[in-house]
Amino acid sequence: MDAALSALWREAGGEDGVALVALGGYGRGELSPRSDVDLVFLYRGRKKPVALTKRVLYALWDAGFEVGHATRTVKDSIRLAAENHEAHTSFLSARLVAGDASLHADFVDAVGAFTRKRAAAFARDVAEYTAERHRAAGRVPFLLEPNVKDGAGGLRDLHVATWLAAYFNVCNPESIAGNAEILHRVRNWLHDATERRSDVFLLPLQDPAAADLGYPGDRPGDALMRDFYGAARAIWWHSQTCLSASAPSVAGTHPQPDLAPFAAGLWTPDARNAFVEALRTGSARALEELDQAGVLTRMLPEWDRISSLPQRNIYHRYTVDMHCFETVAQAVALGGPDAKDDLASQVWADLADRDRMLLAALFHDAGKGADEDHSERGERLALDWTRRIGFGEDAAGEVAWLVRHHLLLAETATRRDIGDQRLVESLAAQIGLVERLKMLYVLTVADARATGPEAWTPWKAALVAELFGHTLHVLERGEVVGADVDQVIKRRTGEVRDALSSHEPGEVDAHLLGMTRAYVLAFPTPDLARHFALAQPPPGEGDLRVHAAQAGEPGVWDVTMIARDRPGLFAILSGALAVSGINIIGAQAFTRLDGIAIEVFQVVGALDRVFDDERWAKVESTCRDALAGTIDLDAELAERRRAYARESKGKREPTRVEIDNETSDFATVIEVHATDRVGLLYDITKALADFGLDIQVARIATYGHDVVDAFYVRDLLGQRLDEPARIGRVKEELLARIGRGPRARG
Amino acid sequence: MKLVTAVIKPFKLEEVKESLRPVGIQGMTVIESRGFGRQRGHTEVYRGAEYQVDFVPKVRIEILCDEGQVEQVVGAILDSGKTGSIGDGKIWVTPVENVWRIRTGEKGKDAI
Repeated sequence: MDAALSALWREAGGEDGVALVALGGYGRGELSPRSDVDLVFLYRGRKKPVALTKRVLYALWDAGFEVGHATRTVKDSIRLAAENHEAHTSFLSARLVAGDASLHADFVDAVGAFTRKRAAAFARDVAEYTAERHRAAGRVPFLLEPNVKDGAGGLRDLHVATWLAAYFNVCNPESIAGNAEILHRVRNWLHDATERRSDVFLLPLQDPAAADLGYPGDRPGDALMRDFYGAARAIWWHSQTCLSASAPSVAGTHPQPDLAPFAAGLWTPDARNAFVEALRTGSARALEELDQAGVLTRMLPEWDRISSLPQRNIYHRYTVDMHCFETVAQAVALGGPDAKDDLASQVWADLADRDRMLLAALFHDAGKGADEDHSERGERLALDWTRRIGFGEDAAGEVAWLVRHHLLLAETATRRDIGDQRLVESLAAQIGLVERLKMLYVLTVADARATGPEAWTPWKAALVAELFGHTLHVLERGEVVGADVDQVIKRRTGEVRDALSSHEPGEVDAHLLGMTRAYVLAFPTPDLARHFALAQPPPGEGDLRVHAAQAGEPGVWDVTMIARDRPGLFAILSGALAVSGINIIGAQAFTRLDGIAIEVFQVVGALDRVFDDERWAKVESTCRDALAGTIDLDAELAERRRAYARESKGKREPTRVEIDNETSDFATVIEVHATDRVGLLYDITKALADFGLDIQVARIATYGHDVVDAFYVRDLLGQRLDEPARIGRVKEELLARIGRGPRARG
Repeated sequence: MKLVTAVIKPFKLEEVKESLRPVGIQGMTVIESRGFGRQRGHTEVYRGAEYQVDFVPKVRIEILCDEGQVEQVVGAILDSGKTGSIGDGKIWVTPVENVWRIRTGEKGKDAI
């Protein structure tokens, strides 16, 4: 281009006192195939060299070039620079193409002096324009489809350093000049390959470009983009550092981590503290600072695998390592001034040890970039790194666990039925500790927010929050999870499997999985095994299986009844037992996932304490008849009550009915305290059935004359009983029916 | 031509999707949505603070099909989308005037 212009100049009869100067990109010597040619005709004195400029320009236009041109004196130029920032910056790369060298020199001096005089203001302008440019074309260097010229880390960012270098020491374009090469190559390819002068590196073009630029393999775009992002990142980082130093009020600053402790490359206590401090700032830039200084790649072996590793889909907007920094930032932001008053912020505030959580946030995707499952690989890396940094085994174990399971909450919430009690209980058992669950929740939220705008929607947030809440409650109550409990369940499960080894293992497991954990805790192994056997094959409609055996105490029997669950089943069976002259002193009832009810009653004979096979046969047949509906239980029981009205001795506790929606997320717990009498259990459970309440779990116990019953109920739609009006009616009705009997209240 | 729309529980999506394959349905639109019916929203309680959740997350799927396929499609979704507890969702069918495939310009049944 220069040669052509020189020739043109001579031909056009270049005059004295006129200089043809290249500006902008051309001035820098960077002409892409479709760039503008930016020229200015400088002149001294009053007379514009019109004819000369015309001759040169027409020739250029005829040749098909896009020429930006102006004819100015040096003074004019300075005046323009004062008003127009873009013009000013283009002047900074002025280069003589042809003509009067001294005029060019004057121009350069004038511009230099002008800029130096207002260096700080100039820097602020640069910072503002840069921010604006980034807003429009890309704020991070890792966009899926980066703008090679205007985006963050693009070619213009390199110029920023160049412009400010003369006035601010920290800016040193030489240090990043090498990175520009790949950007130029891509830009040139783009201008060649696309008919338009597009600077946006679209995704479908990335593989072809990579192939043309000599990258091998099936998906050469991966390697190209990795190199590209690495270069863009270096340029971006340097220009940001430059702007932060020269125009802090506009470009902003970020916490500067103390890099000195890392100089030796060893994890001393000082290094560890500096590292943790950097994490706690929650500034992705501060972590970037550490990374740029090589701390991570030097001191955490295999970190470099995820360095600038792109994730080339629209879901992820950052490279893997940048995403990890962002995750840390999002977590800390939960406690920051802009934090919303939501569940995540609350849980963050409650965390006991945030450092562990932040380490997990930093390491959680470190396992990517290899063929292995990234959670498993990440777990190993996290364990190693946490120890290396100088944390104890406890902390290292926690961090590694979090990394291994960082997707657990999100995946379960979106793919499994979070309304299923068994699922929640097993999740709670898997997580095991309240503090761990809280850290996992915060990690889940931060991870999603740091992935991209699509990853954390109110939709997803609602599902995860619900699962978190249910799991938390199960863990906090500690009834069915916890180290001791887990031991018992594990042991019994194993023993049951052994005892039933003659059956299909799949069937045994399905049975146990279909029961809540409370069931396994409620019975010793032999009983558990017997229940399974009794329930095989699953009973059909109207089918009843009964098994009676002596319990430990004399006169007390365990009666197990298995049938297909239906509303009112428990009521019918307890009524049938009462009608058979049997006192129920204890009961546990559970329902299997597939609708098989397992009800175990501890009973004594009401008057006749002796049971023989014949009697049991009769009891069984009464129960069957009751199920079939051929017995009027209400009438029969009323008759019995009249016939055997009992005098009750001693102080009677007042009847209490409590409706509790706190204890379980999955059912309403109705607790009844009352004085025992004939058919009490039947009356209570019949009332529940009449209200359309299905008993999921029942626990009945008798202490002398007093009875304490707990029923876990749901209505027929599967919802809890939480409408106040309805609660009131149920309570009233229960009190009324319990009160009925020989000593009914007025 | 008909549009079958179904609102289902989020975790049922995979199952429903699979159940439609044997019916010959290869494409559908999936939208994350929130709603409520007789299933009420619930209150999350954490540290005594209640976070009322009024709208329950659901997934809405839309399937274009031939009139003759409607019964099978609906049947498949009824089967695979059901849990038996409240909140399972609904299916409805609406008539479609015309359909075009953007890439080829095909229209009508060819575009389904």
